[in-house]
Amino acid sequence: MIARAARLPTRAARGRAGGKRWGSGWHAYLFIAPSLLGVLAFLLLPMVIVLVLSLFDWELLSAPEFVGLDNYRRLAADGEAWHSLGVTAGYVLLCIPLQTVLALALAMLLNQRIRGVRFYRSLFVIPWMATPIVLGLIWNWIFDPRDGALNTALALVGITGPDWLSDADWALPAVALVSVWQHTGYNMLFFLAGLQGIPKELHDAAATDGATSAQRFWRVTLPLLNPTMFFVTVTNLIGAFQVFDTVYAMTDGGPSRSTEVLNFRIFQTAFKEFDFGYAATLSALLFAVIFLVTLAQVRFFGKRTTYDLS
Amino acid sequence: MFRLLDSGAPLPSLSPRIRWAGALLGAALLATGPTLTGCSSGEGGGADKVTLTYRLWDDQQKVGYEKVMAAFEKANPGIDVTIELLPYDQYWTKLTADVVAGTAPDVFWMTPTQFPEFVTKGVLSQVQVDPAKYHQTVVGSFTHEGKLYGVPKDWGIVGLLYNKDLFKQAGVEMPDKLTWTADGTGTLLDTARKLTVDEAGKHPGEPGFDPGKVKTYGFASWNHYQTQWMNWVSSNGGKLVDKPFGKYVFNDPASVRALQFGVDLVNKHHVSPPATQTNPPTGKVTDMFKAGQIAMFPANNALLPFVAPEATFEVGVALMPEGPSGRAVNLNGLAEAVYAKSEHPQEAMKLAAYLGTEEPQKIMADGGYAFPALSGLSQGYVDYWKSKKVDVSPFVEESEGTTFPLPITTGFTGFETKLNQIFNEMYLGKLSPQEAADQAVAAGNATLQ
Amino acid sequence: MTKRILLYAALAAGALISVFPYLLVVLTALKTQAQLSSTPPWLPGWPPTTDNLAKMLGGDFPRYVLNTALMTALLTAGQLVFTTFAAYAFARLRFKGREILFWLYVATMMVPSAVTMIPLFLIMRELDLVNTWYGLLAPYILGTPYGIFLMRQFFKSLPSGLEEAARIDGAGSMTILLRVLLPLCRPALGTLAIITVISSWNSFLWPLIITSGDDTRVITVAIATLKDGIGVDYHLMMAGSLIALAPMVAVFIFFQKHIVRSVVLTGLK
Repeated sequence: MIARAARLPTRAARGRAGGKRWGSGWHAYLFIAPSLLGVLAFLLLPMVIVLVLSLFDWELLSAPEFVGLDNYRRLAADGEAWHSLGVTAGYVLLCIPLQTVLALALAMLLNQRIRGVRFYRSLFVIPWMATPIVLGLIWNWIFDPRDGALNTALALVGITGPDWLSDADWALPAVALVSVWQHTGYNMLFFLAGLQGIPKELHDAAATDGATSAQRFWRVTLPLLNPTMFFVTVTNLIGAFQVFDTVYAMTDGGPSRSTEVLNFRIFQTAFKEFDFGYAATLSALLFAVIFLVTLAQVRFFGKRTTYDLS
Repeated sequence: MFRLLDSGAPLPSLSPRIRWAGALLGAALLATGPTLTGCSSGEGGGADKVTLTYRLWDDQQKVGYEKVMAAFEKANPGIDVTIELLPYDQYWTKLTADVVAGTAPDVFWMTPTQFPEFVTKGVLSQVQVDPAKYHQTVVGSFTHEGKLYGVPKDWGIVGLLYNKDLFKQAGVEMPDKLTWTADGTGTLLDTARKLTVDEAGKHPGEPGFDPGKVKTYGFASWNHYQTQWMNWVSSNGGKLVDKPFGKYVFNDPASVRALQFGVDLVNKHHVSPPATQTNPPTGKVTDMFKAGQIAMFPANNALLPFVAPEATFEVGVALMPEGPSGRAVNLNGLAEAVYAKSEHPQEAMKLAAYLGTEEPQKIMADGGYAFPALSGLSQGYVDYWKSKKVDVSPFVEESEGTTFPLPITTGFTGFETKLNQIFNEMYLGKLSPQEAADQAVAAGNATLQ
Repeated sequence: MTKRILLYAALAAGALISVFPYLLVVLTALKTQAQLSSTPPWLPGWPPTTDNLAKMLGGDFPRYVLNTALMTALLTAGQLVFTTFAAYAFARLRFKGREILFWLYVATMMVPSAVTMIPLFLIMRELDLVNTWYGLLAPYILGTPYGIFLMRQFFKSLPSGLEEAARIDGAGSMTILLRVLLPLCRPALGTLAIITVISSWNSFLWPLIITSGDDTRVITVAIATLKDGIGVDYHLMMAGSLIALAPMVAVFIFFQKHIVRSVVLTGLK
């Protein structure tokens, strides 16, 4: 490895980087060809079909019928759908900031020389490794207002816990909490890998210049983690906007529709109400929202300067 | 690779782009004509050997059906049967996808609540069996416009499971007949009160009783339509739907009084656990009964395999309480449905018809899996459970009295979640029974097609 | 020193919260049905029983574990290769339509899979792949947008002049990828391997929809069948989940060795 590193580019060679368009041309397409085939046939085509289906009335078990923009007119007047979008936004706000910050903090902690660091890393990732359907059952036990572990623990310190999943104010935070629990360690993995890629010398240099550890975090670590942060926030937001499993296992959208996120509504519409055309319309709405949120992130991260190592 | 234009999608006079999209869709979506492949495509050994697919969701019953299918294959050397087991929660999603693609199994289990959706869309074949031989509530659950679209398979009925040890400890005898009325008189409430004890040993109604610290509850009243409030409504002279494939009507005065009774057991009489612990989807009434925290628990007999073996107490079965209009209990039937687009319609029909005969139904009954739909075979089931020290004969007695099916209307599957949510609020005491029933009936009738 | 103690205290508390729910799985898997009813979930049943594990291992479950292992191995192999290829092209090669194509990949993650599943299932029917291993693997074995996005970000974070000298030496893109870039990507590859293995191992909806026979049954589906319409075999489900988790922990420990600072990169000034 080190021998190979010795043959790596000199500073002079790197200076010319980006000047010439190395690798332009057909062989780039060869590299993406296999994935392109898969994406086109198995991901993009189904997605396009779903978007097209939003113009149809289709009860799944009978033939689809073209209805133009009818479904969209219905959507405009559908209070339930907009309520669901609001719930989804609330869910995203509850879990994304928390799980991102926690994951980063955890990664920084576990990026140090600590006894048993691998052991800890493994423990933190277990929530994401375990079979999801089983965990839904377990969390329902934990949230039981009377005999559940959570309220039993709270009672020990003199707090009377809420009714969690039966309380319209607490059900959504409870579901979000499970997501944070499940994804913090998982996201930690990406930050860990990102942190490992930051040359130690940069930290050392900053320290020599008298930067405090807070300054080093904001001026060195965070900017250099930008590519990782971008990936984590974009994919986490895409995932959080489509939350379904935990809601299905824990609340069925209740109580009083306080956890009825959009993807749950979509599933109900498609497979319980057999109204696939309208479910496709709701999916188009969800797609549009996620698309805009992603676009905003592309803008945001694009503006921020990254350290160019060259 | 992808058939684009051979579908004949019904989209005339549209812009070319939309027509293209339509053609694409049509090709992808319409399951017209036989499909290229499917679960049912026979790849069996011999030249004219046919492989049928049979789908179910119960892993315990699968064991019984392996025996049944072996017997069928022996009698029909030209037919092989593959059993497919699917998780219940995803059974319907998968079946829907299969029906859309034309790859549904040849014979599969069907429930009364899903039946209207599938039969009205032409997914099911009419079956030729003599309806008179089966339990009439089951037959009624799978009849559409006077024709039977499923071979009656079995039924489960709601009975009152009770914890004999708790009765002994409290020195209470199970009355010969439990009764209830909406105003709170009757032996059910009396018995439940005696069995409900808080940590200080006090019963409901006694001075100092603390409903927040109950150790054992006398009864389980909770938001579960099949085993709970639908039974109260029916035995109080109320009605769920005006007729099969009709409208919901359970907001009439008799029904609302019955709902009030169910809620009062929890919030007024305190003989049942609070709704925060029992509301679906996370309600854990079964677990509480198994843990000895509940003395009387209305449940479908199909729950017995999950409760009775390894129970830490002696499980008794009693008749459901009688209401002001007598006893009326839910009897939930299952049917063997035949896929209308099966590639082997004759063989599939042969299998379904066979499953309705005595030999297989007796195997399932004697194995203690379910009460067979075919009349006259219940004894095998009773004997099986007698060997496990549970006397299930009250279930049989109930099935011979007044029974009712779950509401048979299209749209129930979509309505179910809303219904549960609204009634969760009712059991929590946040909606009055009248408000809850009005909201639920309005929401339900909005889903009718 | 107090800082050190605080650090360990925080880690221990976090680890406890992380593991506690899973601890309940383990405890439940080792309980009899009677113990399940008589003890709270967070206390062990005494004496612990291995009956549930034995019952699961004695039935068809090991066969489903093998099916799942095969599926996971194939998906991981395919994804590691094709994902890396695509990510490399998106990050470090220039070609027409690169950004549009990349964001098109990402866009496919934005529509719920429960609805795209129906068209995808119909496509599979047209390709005659329903109820086959090919159908099970096809949508994911050629690389996923998620993995490509991940690797692209890591490739992008490498210094921009790395390829240059190799180019001058006449190396092609493939050589550069294998000899120059990949050795620098061990943390990323380790991460990709972990998430690919574990998400394949836990995949549920697609295996359930595309196949229905025992020949292709995977463990998640097998565990789900223990939850009936009416009752739940908690202790068996938990036992199944426990059996399912063990190999994943091993895989994780194996691959996380690679999530360490790359020697080469540190040596770079």
